[in-house]
Amino acid sequence: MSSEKKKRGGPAIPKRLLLTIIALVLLIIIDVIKDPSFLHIGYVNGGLNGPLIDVIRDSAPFLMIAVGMTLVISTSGIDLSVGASMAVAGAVAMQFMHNTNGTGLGSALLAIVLALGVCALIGAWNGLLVSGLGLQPFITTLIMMLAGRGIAKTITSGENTSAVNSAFSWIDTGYVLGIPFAFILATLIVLAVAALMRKTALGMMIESVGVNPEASRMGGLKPKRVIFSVYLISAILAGMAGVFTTGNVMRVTPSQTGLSYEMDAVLAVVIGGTSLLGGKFSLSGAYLGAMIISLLEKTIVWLGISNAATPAFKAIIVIAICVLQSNFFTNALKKMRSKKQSKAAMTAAREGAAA
Amino acid sequence: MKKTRAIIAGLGAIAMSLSFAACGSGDDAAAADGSDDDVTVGFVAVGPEGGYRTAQENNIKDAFKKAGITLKYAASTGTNSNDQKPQLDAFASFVNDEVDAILLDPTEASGWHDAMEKAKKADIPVILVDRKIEPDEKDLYAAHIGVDYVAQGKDAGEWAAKEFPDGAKAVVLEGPAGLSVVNDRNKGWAEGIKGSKITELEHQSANWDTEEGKTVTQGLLDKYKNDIQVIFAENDEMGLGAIQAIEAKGLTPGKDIKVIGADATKPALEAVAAGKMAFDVETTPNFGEQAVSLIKDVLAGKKVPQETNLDYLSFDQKSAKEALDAGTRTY
Amino acid sequence: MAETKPIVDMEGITITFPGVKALDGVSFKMYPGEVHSLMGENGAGKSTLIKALTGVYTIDDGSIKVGGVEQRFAGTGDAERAGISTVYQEVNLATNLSIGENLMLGHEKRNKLGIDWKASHEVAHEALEQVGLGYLDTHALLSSISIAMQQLVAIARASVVKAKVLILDEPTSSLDENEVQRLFDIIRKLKSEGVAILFVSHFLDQVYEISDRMTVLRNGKFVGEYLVKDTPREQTISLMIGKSMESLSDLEGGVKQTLDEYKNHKPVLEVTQIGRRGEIQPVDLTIRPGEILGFAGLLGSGRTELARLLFGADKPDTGTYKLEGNTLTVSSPYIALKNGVAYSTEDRRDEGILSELSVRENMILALQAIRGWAHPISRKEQEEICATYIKALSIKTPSTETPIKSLSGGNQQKVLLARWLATSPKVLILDEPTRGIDIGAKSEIQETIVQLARQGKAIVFISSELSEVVRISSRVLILKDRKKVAEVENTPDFTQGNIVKIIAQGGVNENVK
Repeated sequence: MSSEKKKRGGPAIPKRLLLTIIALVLLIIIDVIKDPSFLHIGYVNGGLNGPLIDVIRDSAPFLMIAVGMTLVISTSGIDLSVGASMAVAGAVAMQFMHNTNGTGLGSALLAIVLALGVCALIGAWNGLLVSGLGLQPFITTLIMMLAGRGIAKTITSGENTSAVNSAFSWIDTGYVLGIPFAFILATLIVLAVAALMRKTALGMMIESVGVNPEASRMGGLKPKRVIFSVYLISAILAGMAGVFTTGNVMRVTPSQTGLSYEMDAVLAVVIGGTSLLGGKFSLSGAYLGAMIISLLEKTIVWLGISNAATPAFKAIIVIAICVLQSNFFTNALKKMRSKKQSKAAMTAAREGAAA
Repeated sequence: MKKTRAIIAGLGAIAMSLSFAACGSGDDAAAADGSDDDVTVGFVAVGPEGGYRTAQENNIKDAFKKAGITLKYAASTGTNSNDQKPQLDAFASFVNDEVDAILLDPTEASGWHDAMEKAKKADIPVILVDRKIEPDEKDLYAAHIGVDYVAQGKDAGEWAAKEFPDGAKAVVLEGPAGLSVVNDRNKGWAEGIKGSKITELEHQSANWDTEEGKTVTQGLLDKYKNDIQVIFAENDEMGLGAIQAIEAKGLTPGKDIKVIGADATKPALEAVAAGKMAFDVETTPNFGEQAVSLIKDVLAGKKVPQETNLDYLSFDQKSAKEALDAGTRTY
Repeated sequence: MAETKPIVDMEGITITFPGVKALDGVSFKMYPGEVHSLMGENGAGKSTLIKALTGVYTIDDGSIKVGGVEQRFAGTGDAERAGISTVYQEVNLATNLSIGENLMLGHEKRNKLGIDWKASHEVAHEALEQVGLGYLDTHALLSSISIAMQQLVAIARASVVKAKVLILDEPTSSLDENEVQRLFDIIRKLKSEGVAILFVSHFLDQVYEISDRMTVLRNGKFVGEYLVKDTPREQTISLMIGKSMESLSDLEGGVKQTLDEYKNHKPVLEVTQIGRRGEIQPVDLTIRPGEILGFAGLLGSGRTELARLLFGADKPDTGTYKLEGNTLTVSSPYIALKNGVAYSTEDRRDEGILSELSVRENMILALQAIRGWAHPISRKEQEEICATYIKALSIKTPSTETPIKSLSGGNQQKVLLARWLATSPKVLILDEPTRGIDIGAKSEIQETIVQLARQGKAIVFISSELSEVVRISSRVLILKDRKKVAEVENTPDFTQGNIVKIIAQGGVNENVK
């Protein structure tokens, strides 16, 4: 992540990242005030155990979809089908292992390949409709969000399917050197995506298309392919999120698995500082955003927020984080004004150059 | 070789089920086609939704077949069981066809007034199955057959009170806020533990989901430093998750912490039989017999009770084993 | 013009942005029924002054009186209520609303049920009729009419809102000759009704044609207020740039290319009968290395359409395309760039710059596109490319990581030029490369173009300023009504007047030749 930070240049992003980290720490402090044992880390069944360990393990699916969503949003799109894709991936994997009684490592790997493959088809479908036919991303992926649940239910014949496979389960519940493997794997995947974006020109091309697809085309890029690729990547990552979630309990609930995760993904992206209008994206921001979402889920239980009040509580925290990020510095007011009128900034710089 | 074949079989199953997604399910002309009986009942059903729903609808179909009553079955839709329009359409066409009575299991509680008003004018009695309508206009339907969720919650509570006469700390995993099932089971649970030494620590939602049931339970165990003895999961899915959470924290479900489930689905009964889940109250899918007898009475002009609650069972390790061995469980 | 009371009286206006004084004690007065031009190079503070007057910026010091009443504008709404109406350089209307809705926005006719759309459209229609656009359907979407027409619609809005002061910021930059004349008719009409009109334009000729008085700004400071008829053009230019007349000789003299040097080169690009239905009738065209081929024609004559076909931005229906003797199907900009044809669009904002991206990213974009996403240009190479072109084109930017949107128009254009040059094109098509940028940058860009030709690049040069086309082209292709009407060698005795005659006559005939 740090290499990425360095690469981005421009002072605005690190400052924003810093604020996101502050928000993360503040949330932890709230939990610690409620009960200091929030920081307690024990050792159970060959791995570290405790609230914070749960937070990082449970962040794995959020990390996947937040990163995918960041790329899609960077092209001024949105992928509402990530939650449903998680259910589809889970359904494919569970049903496959259930039907074949596959308990070995090979079965687990094949189940993952199948799950990600079906999700890739979903992503390709979304990408094709959005880039090829020029349909609106919101509508296209909204339809897939509904259809995806249907597909998941059909795969399991409407049942909640369980499977037994210790290797598959280990992906989410296992430990390496005491650290949850899910967290390690998710972080590695994020790093791999970051490398794909920043070590090749794909990241710049995505941002360019997000800023202005026509200008990008006139500059020689192929916006359709770029847009197609982000939906594909997003769906595959959502599939991986589905593997994590279902691997946790080795059971898929087609109507519930990944339900409303698309909203969590969008929140993580917003918290991470990528504009919903597209353009510049920040994967390190998305990473932290996903962590905050995971921590938030934990905090809700930790503080014992009641069932009915949970959505409101989540909303308040997210808004508070956004306000913190936007208004923290003393010149925030002037900055906000200049943001509203980008021409102001233009003139200012011009005058600056002239002076 | 054997393994490969199994894998191919698995792939095939997935491919087949995928191809079903495309067709959806039209009107299923089930039940007694050749019956000469002139009684015809329309069943506005939910359709494929999961094991419970399938068992329930099959039970109803079988009961009517046995009774020699023609049952016209119309499911909501193929894949998306929350769509109300197909149900409204089916309902209207049953009214047009002048069936003798209509069984309705509404996917959505509201929006039924106009349709049911028409049935009433046409003198077609409506019997609600399982779910109710909103607002609950009692003059629009003849009877409602349902599961007493309050009683289920109460059974769970009473079991816990009996199990821990010296007291215990309990948490409740709920479904999504606002559902009547959630409210009813909460209410019953509270009644059940009233006057006992059970201390209720808190209610937390896990949205009916196994995975959330696990993560939320992990959170609760951390929060109370594992000092919890009873978890009432208001459905089996969350209960199964809770069991996994207990194991992940290095504790033994059934011994250190007793999990109570609700619905008595097959995987949950297996968990009860294995001693991992301590107790489970059933949500019976067996509506058929009651529905047949109610419809016969209504059509014969007899007065019937507005509310009928179905009998249900509850299971501990022993009875769960017996039930599983008997092989009579339909879901 | 009777010396009545000023309708706008701004005194000692100062506006400070972080680290820089955008306006420093500037005074500005306007009287009813006059056309007043605001003159100055980019960065002189014209836009800032306008924004102070329209309530976009709050002033740090000074006073603004409108109609003798001291004003404290907290937003554009306040200014509009005070009778100040603005038409910006880039049309700021809602293109996805109808023409009528745009005209009436915020001033809709109402009845008991809310907005009375019928009456509103009637008023809109009247307003359009007044400016000679009565034939437009007020129900049509604004986006369905040309930018030029949108501009006129924006001006018609001034009469709907009953403006006392109308600010026209570069209103003519996207208009052709006829449309400019139509605009001027409208301006004269509004002027006769007592509206004070603030006119800002880069076209000196237009300023001299339409305005009565002008205020010159330089580097955020007030230089002076002058009567247009008493101030020669040369003097105005030197007031604006703060240099003496002598140093301006380059601008006027120009750099006329001669063909001789490259006469015997083989053509680099040869197209025959390339056309696209509804946009440009089939055209033959040949261009040799070292040549600057000018496209002349009015707006809508098909010059941009032809250029887009050459670049693959649109797909031609007919014709063959030969690059260095090889037949090609240029179906996308990518293929064109890959084969050495680059095109700098006339629409810098929507099709050129990637506003949020840095100068560096904007500069390497096309080269990166050619190489493909999997072959990133190393950071080192990127820096080298930037350093090279920032120096060669004297691009003024705080750093290579500055977002391009914060550069001035001229510098943005230079970055785009660098983007194309970085791909080492054989053919470089430049569509209005000097539009909307200040005089200094303009002549620099012209000189660069000539030098590129000297280095052997084939250049297509498109401009609506005929004088500019004549100044630097070696040959001129003249278009009219989406058709090529003539192709003429730019001999020393060839002038703008010749082009105008050819366009007027629809082709070359004896007395022109």
